[in-house]
Amino acid sequence: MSSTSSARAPIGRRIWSSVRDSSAFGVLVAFILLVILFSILHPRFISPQNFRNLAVSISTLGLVSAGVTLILLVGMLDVSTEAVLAMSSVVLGFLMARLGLPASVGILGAIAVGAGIGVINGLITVRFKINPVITTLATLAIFTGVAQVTSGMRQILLNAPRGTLLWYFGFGSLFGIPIQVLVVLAVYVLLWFVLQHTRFGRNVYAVGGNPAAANMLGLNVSRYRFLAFVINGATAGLASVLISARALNGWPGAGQGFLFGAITAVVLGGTSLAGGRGGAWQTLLAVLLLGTLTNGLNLLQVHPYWQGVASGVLLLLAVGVELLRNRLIGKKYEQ
Amino acid sequence: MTQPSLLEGTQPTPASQPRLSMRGICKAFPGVQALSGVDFELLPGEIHAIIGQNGAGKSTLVKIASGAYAPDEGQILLDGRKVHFRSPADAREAGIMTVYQDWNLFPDLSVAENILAGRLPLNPRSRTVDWSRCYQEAARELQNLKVDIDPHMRTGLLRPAQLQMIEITRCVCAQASVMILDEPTAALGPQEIESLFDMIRRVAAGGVSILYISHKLEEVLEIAGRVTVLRDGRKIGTADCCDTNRIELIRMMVGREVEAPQKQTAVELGPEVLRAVNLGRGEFLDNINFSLHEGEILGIFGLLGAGQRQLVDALYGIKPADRGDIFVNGAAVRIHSTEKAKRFGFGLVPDDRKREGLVLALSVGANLTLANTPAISRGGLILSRRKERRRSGQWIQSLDIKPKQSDRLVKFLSGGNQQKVVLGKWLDNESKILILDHPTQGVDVGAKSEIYALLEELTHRKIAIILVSTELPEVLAMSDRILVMRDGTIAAELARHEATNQKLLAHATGGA
Repeated sequence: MSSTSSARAPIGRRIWSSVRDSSAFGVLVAFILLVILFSILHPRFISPQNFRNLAVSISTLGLVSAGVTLILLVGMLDVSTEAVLAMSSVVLGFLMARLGLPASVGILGAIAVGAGIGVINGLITVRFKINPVITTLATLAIFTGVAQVTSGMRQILLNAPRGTLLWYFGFGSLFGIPIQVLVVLAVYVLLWFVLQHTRFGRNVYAVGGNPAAANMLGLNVSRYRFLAFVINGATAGLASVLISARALNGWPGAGQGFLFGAITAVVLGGTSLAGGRGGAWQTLLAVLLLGTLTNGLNLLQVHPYWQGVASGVLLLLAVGVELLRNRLIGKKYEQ
Repeated sequence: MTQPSLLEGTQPTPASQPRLSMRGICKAFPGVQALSGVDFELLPGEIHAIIGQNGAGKSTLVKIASGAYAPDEGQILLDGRKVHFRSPADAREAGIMTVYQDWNLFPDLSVAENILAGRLPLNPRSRTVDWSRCYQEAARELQNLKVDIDPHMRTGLLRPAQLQMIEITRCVCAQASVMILDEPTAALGPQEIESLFDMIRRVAAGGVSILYISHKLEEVLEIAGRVTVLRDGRKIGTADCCDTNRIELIRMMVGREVEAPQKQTAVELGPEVLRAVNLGRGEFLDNINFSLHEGEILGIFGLLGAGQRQLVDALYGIKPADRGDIFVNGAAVRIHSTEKAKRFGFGLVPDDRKREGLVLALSVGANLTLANTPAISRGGLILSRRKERRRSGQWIQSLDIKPKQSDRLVKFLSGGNQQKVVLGKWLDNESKILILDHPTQGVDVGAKSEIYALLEELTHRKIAIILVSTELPEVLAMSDRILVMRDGTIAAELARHEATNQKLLAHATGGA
């Protein structure tokens, strides 16, 4: 039995066995197949320039998905993310363009606004034991409205000359890798480390996997849920900075469509909607898969409407592979 | 089945022929002979109670009657005809209906919709629901049974007794010929019980045979015409309620005294670690006083719903007490969260280990170390897999958890091994006061005795144990001292040498 040996097995075997038993196995298979397919169908799919495009195009979705992963892991749901993206973008524009404050203040302000909305979501949900969907639907409506009113539905143009902090966030590179991509990778490494290698992460899995048992264990379930909301808000705030820095404006339409994509990615990666199962790199892989699909279909000049259909089919396929795999693993353990 | 409805008046079958007759029923589960050769007869319009200790076979017998289990041997006759139920739906179809404890009602629908659920009257022409007829019919049914509830009311707003009445009305309305009531008074106050009993008598007078299961002997004597006693899967006898009394019933339930207790050594008791003074919460828990010493096993016995769960909730901060005091090691403490309880040295093994004891999606190692994650971390923050493996490996060894793999998901373990994991995490946390709520529930015989041996060993390590159980032999065998609970308070405190089966049951069922 392979799981017995994993403690002392060579690192390669350990990685392989964790990949094979992971809920994202189907995603990995689909990703590899898709890469092979596109590289046959289009000559420029495999090229440094295309990889760069691909990586930048998924960085915002990746960032939003990181927060969504955490919130689903603790067994909650937050649908207010697009309002956070809108608010943070407007606040960034307001602080920098209207008040003339430096980019560092604007960026921190945008993240703080995200965290602040997370605090509100968390407090209401946890304190009054309200269904998180209801709480965050309300804050979604409220803060989308606030962002629209305060900005007058206009884009607040940002000025980011080459070499300034905001320019780096939007267009800069380090060692040839876009800063946006590095930010996302850093967040995922951090998320992975926290989830897998800290007490906080362990308790997140306990709280999400079985809140009743976590409570019996003396864990403060509410605290973990609250913190997940705050972190999710802050991550969305950071994502908003990336969007705004690239678009060079602050505006309330910044977040459109991201929540659906993020939830698709997280669920595709095998994170359970019921909480307690899933992880960081699974989500990253799923984001990569969705991004590759979009990128390849774009190269092949497939109409965007069909791309939606394709990602839906992909989701169902990945779920099918997952079901099959569960059945096989179940059989293996029952013996 | 053509059973006469209550509305049309009754034409009882000849008194000589039983409504339901079960003959030579045998049923075995892996490791247990739950029923051996039980005969049971239920006459038309009769209220017949079945009593017995936990594990006597009551619920198995009832589940066979209601089609949930098939008997290994024996036959069932309904109105003289042999029947085979393959499912509860079969039995319902034949007129045998169970009124469940966890009301099977739709809280957001009206009373009328619940009563007529699945059989809403349709307007013959439009094939849509005929609402006015629906409410009329429901109102008529309720009136027939003299139940004063508005059929328009939203069901979720009703009190437990009323929910029970709706359930019963629904069964009557669905033309039940046999109705099974399983502990129907468990959640009710004295007055509610009276009005429920009135209703049950009316239903029976209408010709429906009622099979009544209860732990509460006084109630049984009040409501039932006859009572059948089961013990260890056998029928001990059937008595007319007017010719018997509580003491005699207890004697039938208990039989001879069990052999000498298993716990071998009396541990030298250490200082007092826990004292409860006048502890209470709402109407559920009142006037609880006891103390607990290092190395002691304090048994808490009571029938189902006597307040044990509420006591556990209060001690462990799940539903904190609203009056009285708790002293831990002599100092007064307020325990208003499980976090606090754990900090004061408590550990809880809950009675439902899958729902409350384990995180099934995590590994054995993670579950074993979950109560004390600082011990497997560096700098109190970063987890060390190596420490986790080593620490959990020690518990896997010393508790003999099988298979011996810390990275296996805990959901793939057997019940007994899972329970060892639940217990193990509190040992890992070095908790000093363990509350064990039915620790051997759903555990096979072998693992059971291992757990008993473990408890005894723990007392040598100065751990104080509160053992909550509804299983008499377990409480008698393991406890140094026994508290008997009834109606949310402590009815008696017995030392180990003075406790007997009969005394415990007598205190638990009321009056000494």
